[in-house]
Amino acid sequence: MSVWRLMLREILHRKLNFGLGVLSVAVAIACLVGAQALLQADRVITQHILADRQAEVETAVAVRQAEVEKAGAELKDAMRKHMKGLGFNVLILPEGQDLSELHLDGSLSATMPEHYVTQLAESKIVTVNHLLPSVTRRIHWDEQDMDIILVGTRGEVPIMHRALKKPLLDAVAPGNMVVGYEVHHKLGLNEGDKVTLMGQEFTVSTLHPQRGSQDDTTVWIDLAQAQELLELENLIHAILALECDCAGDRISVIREEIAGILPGTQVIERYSQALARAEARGYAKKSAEEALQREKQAGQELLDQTAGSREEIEMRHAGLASVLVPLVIGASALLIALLSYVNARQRREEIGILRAIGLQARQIMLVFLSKAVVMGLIGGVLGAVLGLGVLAFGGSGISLPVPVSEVIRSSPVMTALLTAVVLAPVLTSLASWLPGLIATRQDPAVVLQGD
Amino acid sequence: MLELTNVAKTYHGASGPVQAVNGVSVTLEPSQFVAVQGPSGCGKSTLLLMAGGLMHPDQGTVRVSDVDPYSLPPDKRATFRGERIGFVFQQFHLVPYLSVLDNVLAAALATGTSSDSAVSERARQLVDQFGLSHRMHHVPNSLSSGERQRTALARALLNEPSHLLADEPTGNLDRENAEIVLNAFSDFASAGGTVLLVTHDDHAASRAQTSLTMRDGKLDQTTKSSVATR
Ligand SMILES: Nc1ncnc2c1ncn2[C@@H]1O[C@H](COP(=O)(O)OP(=O)(O)OP(=O)(O)O)[C@@H](O)[C@H]1O
Ligand SMILES: [Mg+2]
Repeated sequence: MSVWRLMLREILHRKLNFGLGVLSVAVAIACLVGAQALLQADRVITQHILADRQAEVETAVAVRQAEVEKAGAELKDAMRKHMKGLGFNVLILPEGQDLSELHLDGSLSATMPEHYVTQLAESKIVTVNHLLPSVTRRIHWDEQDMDIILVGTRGEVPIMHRALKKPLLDAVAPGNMVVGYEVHHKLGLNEGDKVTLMGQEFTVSTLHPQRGSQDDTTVWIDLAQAQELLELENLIHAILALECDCAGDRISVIREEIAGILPGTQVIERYSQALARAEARGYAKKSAEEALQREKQAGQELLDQTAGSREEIEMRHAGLASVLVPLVIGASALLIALLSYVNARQRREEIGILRAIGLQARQIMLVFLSKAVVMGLIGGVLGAVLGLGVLAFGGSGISLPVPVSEVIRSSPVMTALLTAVVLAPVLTSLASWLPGLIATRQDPAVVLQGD
Repeated sequence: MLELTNVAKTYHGASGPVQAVNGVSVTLEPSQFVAVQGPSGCGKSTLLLMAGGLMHPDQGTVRVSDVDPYSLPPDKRATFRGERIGFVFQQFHLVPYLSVLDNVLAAALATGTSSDSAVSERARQLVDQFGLSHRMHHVPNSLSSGERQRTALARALLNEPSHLLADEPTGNLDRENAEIVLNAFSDFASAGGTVLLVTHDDHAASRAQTSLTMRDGKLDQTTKSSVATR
């Protein structure tokens, strides 16, 4: 015989009272756990919807990105092709060079030191590429009795801070000669032929096809040889360059940059109208970039909008739960208190006699509270199962994208379960406290006087 | 020894005060079996409750084995009752969901001996002694009145009290069961215990060594034998 046995026997004796108590605990706990589980399900659904949207947006952005890259590649390619066709389109000349001379004769007379090109190459210049020092003079080729433009080049000077680029124009090896179309056509030259220019022998190494420009009347030889022939040791007439694919008012930017590195030079741009075509492709690339930007922005807006509306739903649910759960718990506590009180009334006689035969008040209280704890534990577990059952069976209705077990294992639901297991017995104990106290305070004589 | 000195009790009911017990003095020595008789409403039950440490008298003193139970704090008084006094009532007052054996053993909860094997053994002996062995695991609901009162008697005796207080214990019993109960009282007194039996049954009273008569809250001075009434 023990107080526990007394408690258990009483529970079995008054099953209805106990059952109703357990039920009301279970309902309260089911409400608490169910609400948390459904809120968690909400969150999971939101995460999945957002992830889906994110993926959609990312795909759309990736498509646009590919478009931009393609447009960029096309532009680059087109630029390369144009530039290659056009040759160098920026000329860096000494400040004193009269441009009329260039345009009228295709010849240059003002000189600058050859090391300017090194200076430029070693600078941080970004607006031009492919630096090529040259001397250029219109001469009469006495040996062939023909006016030509003689160009001496030594090959491109690599820009120090840039990756090496494939040269637009290969250097002409000393003793070799590259010949423009008009010249070799008129003279009937073939590759490998030996010719004499200003008393020096050259081997024809390359014959250019017709270009329809000054190049057709041009002969290219090694820079050093040209300098020697023209008595221009260590001097050059011009640095040819290729402008980079930069946007805006290109030439003024180039001028500004070069003026900073090589004062005393002037910069002119050739064939600028031809670049307009390339520029058009630049616009195509730019508009593709803008489309990409718009896609990104629209995607972000979609994501924000989805997140916002989901948040609103979640907040509404949480708000509902924050009212409903305490209400149900309060109601259940009240019901348990009531049931406990009814129970205490029912037990007046037995408590009276137990007091009469010597049981202490705390023993009576223990019987009440231990019953409350048992009621709370059973009701708590039952309620937790019920609450999760709501999710398991209601889950199909809300089309949960993950297994229910995943939601159950999440920390908010686990916390709710833990709270439930702790809260339920505390709730029932508190609710049974006062009725228990009333029972222990009851005067046993009142019951026994009935005799 | 049970010693009541000038005890009095007035109830303050809805229809005004009722003087239930009005200055009673009586001393019961060990081995004495005393009956208090009197008409209904004369204050017998009230007297018994005051004697048993269950109702604080308005006036006068109660001493049980030289201890005034009302000088003890409530829990100590409860334990004191559990150790020194056995109660038997007309309505049995068994715990409805406990078996006969558990009802008997419930008395040991008061003394903290409920898990002692000696106490369990004594409980079985008492159950056996009162012819309840075959009903040991039955709940009160399925017992006859006689069986119920025998269970209550076994419970009252479990803690080997020095006093037995009984309020109309034979009121609901047939003659045979009444005899069993009254014989148990006699045996208890013979073994050195003190018995106070309140009843209006002449036959029950006749089994006591001493029978006192109570009227309007007071004891008559006419006594059957040597009980000290003052
Ligand atoms: N709680 C109470 N409130 C008011 N009056 C009471 C109360 N209990 C008892 N009385 C009154 O006190 C008087 C004595 O009651 P008590 O129960 O002691 O009588 P009794 O002798 O035991 O009667 P019975 O033989 O019928 O059991 C009665 O008149 C009764 O009505
Ligand atoms: Mg009475």
